[in-house]
Amino acid sequence: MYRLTNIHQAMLYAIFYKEWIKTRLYYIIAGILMIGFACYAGLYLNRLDDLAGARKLWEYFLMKNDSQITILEFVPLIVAIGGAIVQFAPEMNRKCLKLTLHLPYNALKTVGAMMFYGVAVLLLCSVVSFLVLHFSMTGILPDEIRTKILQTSIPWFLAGICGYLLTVWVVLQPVWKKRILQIILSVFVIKMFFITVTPGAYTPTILIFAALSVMTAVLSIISLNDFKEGKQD
Amino acid sequence: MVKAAKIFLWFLVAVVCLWQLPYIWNFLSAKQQTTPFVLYSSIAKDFTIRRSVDNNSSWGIVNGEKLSRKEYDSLLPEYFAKQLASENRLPDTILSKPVSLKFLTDENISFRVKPEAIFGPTIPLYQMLESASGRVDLEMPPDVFRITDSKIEFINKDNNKINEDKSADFTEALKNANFAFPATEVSGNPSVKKKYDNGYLIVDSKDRLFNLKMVKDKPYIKRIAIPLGITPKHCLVTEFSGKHSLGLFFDSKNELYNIMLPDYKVVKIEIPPVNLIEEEITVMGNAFTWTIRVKNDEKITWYAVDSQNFKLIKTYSENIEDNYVKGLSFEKNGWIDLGWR
Repeated sequence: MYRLTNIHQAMLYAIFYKEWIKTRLYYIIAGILMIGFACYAGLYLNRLDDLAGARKLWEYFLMKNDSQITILEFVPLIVAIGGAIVQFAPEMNRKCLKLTLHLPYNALKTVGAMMFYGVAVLLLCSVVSFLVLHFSMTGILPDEIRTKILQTSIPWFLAGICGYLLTVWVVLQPVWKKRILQIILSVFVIKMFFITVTPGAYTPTILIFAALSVMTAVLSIISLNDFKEGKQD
Repeated sequence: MVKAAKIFLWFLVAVVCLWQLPYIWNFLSAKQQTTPFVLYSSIAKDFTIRRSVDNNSSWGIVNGEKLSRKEYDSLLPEYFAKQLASENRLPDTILSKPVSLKFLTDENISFRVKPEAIFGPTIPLYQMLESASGRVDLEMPPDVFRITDSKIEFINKDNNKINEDKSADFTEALKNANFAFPATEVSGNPSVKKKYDNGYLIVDSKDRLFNLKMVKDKPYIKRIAIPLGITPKHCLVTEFSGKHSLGLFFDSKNELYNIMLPDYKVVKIEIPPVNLIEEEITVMGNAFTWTIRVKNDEKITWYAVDSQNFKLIKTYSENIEDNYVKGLSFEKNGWIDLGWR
């Protein structure tokens, strides 16, 4: 048995462990699905290389604004929304969140730790998927084309993070009227990540979208505040 | 914290409203736009115009004179040569110059440049076709090339490996022509649909313009003499069937120039500077005149220039009337670029 330095660290470990127990089945299946789609996208490019020939494949990428990996486009978002629902919907339905918030630990930090767990798992799945894509193209495509294809996928992974945080915001909201308005706003915010699939189009502004993804985490404070104040329909 | 979160929430609401409300308004209020088709007639010495409204066409001259379709065709024998020939109405001479059906059709050109073609996302790999293969049809090359800080590299498509010998040959040829690496602009038309290949127009790091092509597997490089004070920025290889032009280029002041063949003489096309980021250019030309259409969100302007000396002959413009409301936009020239437009 190891000694924990303080109560905060112990609480964090406990929260992460609780979240893992609650979501492990979902994230194992969803993670395999997400990485599986990345494998399929990579395999698809390799099959095109074999069947159509490298020359045709290269010419396609150089003359058409297409990445050939759009099968992956909405996968991170769907996995993320599912993850947020699996993680937070039972807490709301079974009123477990009320108990969680009564723990001898700051409520904001508790929910923050739960969200951190979700984002960390999604980031892990995204990074593995990204690396699978990267290595599946290494032998068959030059750096310039590979970079453009990979750049195309970055906003989709960021949309996953943003979609997760917005879903948490929606699920934690106890008032249905507000929840519907939040869903509408979330749809438009997520749409910003899917405006174009032109390879590399998001590259100059990708940091703005990364910042937007991270900043949506603060919205959950509003829902949490409504929940703590006992607001209901 | 709650206050900061609410500020961020209202910021997002504002962004979405400024983005979506103008979009919805424009989507619902958009009307069919009928852009007139305008060409300069060297016979009428004025612009002819064809308007199509609700599938009904009308023909005339921009001064208001109405024309029948046959009269319209006969004022533009360069463009409607085949139609006139089929009706035995093709003139023997135009502006005292003897003409034939073949001559007129061979001299016709059309060319369009959209801002996204110049400024949009591209992959910095290029394909150099063989310019003198001895075959009638062009073929796509087995490799692509990139220009680095110190050399040109050809990469074999089949094995994704650099062709060292060919790269060394071309690098040496470029260095012998005093090409200063890296390139700031590389422009060509890697397509087998064109009739012949003029290779690439390349601007080096000292703003000098070169024509690079592959002739019988060997590099052919020609430095193009540019008048003092002109800095080429954006090049366009034309490959018109008449073979009088190698390409066009815009300089740092957005002035347009034509590189004439066979002597590589650079001639200024005397139209006002074009705002390349905002404006789309269409060129329709013949043996006597070019009609250059410059279109932006508010106005279309047509310039007629002499196709020999590229002096401006006449100008005509029309405003674009619509109810378009500007809003927050995420896309510009193929990039995600937040702006008010």
